[in-house]
Amino acid sequence: MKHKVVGANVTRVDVKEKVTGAAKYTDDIQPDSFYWGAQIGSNVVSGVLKGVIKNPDFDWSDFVYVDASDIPGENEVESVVSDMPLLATKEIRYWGQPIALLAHRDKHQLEEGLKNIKIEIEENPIYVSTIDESLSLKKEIIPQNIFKKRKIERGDIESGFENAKYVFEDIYYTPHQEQMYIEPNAIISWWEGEKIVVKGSMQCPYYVQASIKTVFHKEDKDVEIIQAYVGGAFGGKEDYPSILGAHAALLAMKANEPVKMVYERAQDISITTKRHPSKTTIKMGFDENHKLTTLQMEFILDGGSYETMSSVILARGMLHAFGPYEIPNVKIDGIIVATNTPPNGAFRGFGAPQSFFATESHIDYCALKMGISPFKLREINFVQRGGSFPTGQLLENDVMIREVYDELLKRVNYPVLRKEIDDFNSLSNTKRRGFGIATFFHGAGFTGSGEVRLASIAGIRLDKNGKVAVLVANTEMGQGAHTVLSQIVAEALELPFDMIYMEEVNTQKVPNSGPTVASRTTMIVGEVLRRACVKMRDAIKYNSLDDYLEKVSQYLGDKESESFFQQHLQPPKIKWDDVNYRGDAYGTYAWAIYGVEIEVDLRSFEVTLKNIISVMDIGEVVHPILASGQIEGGIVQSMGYALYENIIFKNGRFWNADFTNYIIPSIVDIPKMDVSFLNNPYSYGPFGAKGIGELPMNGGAPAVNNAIKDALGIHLTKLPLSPEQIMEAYERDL
Amino acid sequence: MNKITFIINGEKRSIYVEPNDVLLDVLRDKLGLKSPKCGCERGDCGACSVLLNGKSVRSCLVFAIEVDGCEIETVEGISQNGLSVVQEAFIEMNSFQCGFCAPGVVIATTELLRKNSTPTKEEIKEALAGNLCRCTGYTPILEAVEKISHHNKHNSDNTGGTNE
Repeated sequence: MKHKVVGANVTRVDVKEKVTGAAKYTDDIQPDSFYWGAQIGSNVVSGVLKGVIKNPDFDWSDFVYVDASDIPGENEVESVVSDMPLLATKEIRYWGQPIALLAHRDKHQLEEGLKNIKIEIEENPIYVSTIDESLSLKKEIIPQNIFKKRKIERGDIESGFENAKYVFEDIYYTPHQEQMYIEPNAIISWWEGEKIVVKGSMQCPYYVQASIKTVFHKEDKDVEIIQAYVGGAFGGKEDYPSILGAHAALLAMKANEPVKMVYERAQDISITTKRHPSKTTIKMGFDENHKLTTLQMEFILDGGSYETMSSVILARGMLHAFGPYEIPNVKIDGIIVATNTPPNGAFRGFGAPQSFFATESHIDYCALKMGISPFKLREINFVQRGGSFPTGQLLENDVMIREVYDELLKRVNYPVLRKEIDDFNSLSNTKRRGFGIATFFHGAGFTGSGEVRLASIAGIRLDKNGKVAVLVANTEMGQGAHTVLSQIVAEALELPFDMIYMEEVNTQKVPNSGPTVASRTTMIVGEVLRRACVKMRDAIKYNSLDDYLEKVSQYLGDKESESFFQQHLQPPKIKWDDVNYRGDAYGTYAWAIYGVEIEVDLRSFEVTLKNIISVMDIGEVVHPILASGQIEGGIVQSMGYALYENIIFKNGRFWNADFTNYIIPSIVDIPKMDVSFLNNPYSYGPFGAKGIGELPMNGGAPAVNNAIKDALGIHLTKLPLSPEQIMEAYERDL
Repeated sequence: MNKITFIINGEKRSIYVEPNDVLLDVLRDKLGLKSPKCGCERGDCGACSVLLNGKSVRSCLVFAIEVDGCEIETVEGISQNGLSVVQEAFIEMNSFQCGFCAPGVVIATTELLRKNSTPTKEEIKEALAGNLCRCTGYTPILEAVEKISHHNKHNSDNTGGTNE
């Protein structure tokens, strides 16, 4: 199918504002008079709050102070499980846990005020920081330290392992990963009579609205949430703005003026959500033909100190854990444990980067042990058209794993590359090169029946001048959503791109089209919008632009505008059993492979990324440059995860809370990247598009690990793949 | 309070500052120049970069009192007579995603190209090494600057000029 606007590299709708400095991010909003807000957090990791003492000799007259007693409604953070208090009243479970709030019109004075507040906590010196400590019940935060367990089962793993010729088992670990958006969390809030207004850096305005409604016992109409320009999010502004927004609104309630809360970098890293650390025990059984017959996994995530939304992250991690393989006997146990760390939350990939690291590293390990090539082992085991995943999901024309794999081998010209690498290695005394792959996928949209529960509504509004506004609650956080959704509407209405514009993302102006998460915006919301456009075209028939303008004028008559709404329709084929975890976990999957060429210095054990080749099926590509940008950015984030990024603990709290010691890739670290797409259209996505946002995060770490294995013959099981770890394994295996 | 006088985006200004006022805060809160962003408050991320006497500095690491008698340029200044070549290239290449790092990258690139109109890929990387971006993987930023460099090289070759 040939499209006009979909598939075209139109100029981003927001790029000019961004390069001229005109874009207003939250901290750029400066009312004539306002307060700066700050949070008073726990100074111990674990304990019981006894009180907050304000120095009686200090002049508090120009300050606003808030603690839990000021909360008009529920003292809780609205989430999948709302087990976290908005402000602690008794139990302290992590360092920095919010206890009270303080505001002043002057930043310097606010700092003085914070120095004059003393928190009294009866400290519990025993705490747990890691999954292993949690499982050992060194301290019980909740019963057995287990928030939730889930299971996926198929066939019979016992007989599977009995009949297997080869069985290999290992344990893989991944650490916290910080989203490291360059704009820290920021919110401004004010009251207009009985109405609370919250504007800020956020992914999900309707999540923030739900949070404020709970905390203040308010109705929808009395809570207006507005998105400001967002300086990066990656999941890190999915749930945290629900906390910060409520904090700012509490201070604003007492200040009777706007209150702005902007986290400092160290504070943002120390207390906001991160990617869950994981521990994965994985056991694979193969028959004499190297067919993967049996997979057993125990996939454990560190939820942090409250459960919040960890259960859905566990689910997604488990539902990607089996890799792109057809496996008859499978048992995956998923567990979320509690630790005395800030609650972990969403980060691009949502559990899948952790499980893919284990599965895709382990496949290469098994290949090494069985003495066959990891390429061959994958070829034998890839799930095929007509095959199925362990949940029983039948994969029909949708499977593209073999296609992306074949395309990659073609693009890298593998026999030539192999010879180059082998020649280099035989000649160099100080360096070793290696090439590794990882094969992976990502299901777009909410898991299982999630999209049915969300029942998203999106729409378009036809204005008198013929322009069309896009009405969605989905936010532009850099990923290009507002450009892409405008393209979809322009295509569906067969109108020029510049006749489409985005309505402000404001809960009083746009319907609840769901959160901006789960790679769902283009595929799910885009399709809802496309259908809304069909409604408009049913109402107004036109065959040219001039004709359109005339018909619009006739149709609207005296009216200023007319809106057309549509609710999400679940594709009829999707069947999901939430209790037994059987069925179609996702409507479709995007399929991908990375090939990574690296060089290891045998003196410093530094890994240099030389070349990354990515081939993906993401359905129809709506905007090739933006899509490539998503993939390149995701590759680089996943390289950070593979090689550098690591949260280090000291005395139970995060120690490296800065850019200087939490290392993300800079421009000098990036490899050559070759990104290409195979476009197998998805019939229930707008013009065939699938979701792509999270996909590129899933495969980077195992691909680098497999390249290191190829270069040095060593097997690593822990992220990040640091020089220290490589040296230790290399010298041990010599 | 101390009075300082300096040129900001071509305009001479005198203001009063405390000795511990940071240049970034003064630019943003007192002068309303919001293009320099605060990403870390300690010179790591480059989002607050401004040109101080033509050199790119992190305004979060400079006390306002230090700029007495100096000339400062922010992205607002660079944009005041329309888009610069650098900005046009970044727009054309869709170089940014969230855009929070963009003003700092515009500053660092402007400084680079004023000194060296035809930088190599390695020179571009070195000049932008202090500007962190978490969205793009840097590729479209690098490509935009390379494009300007190629263009300049082509023009100077055609006019018989040198590449320096």
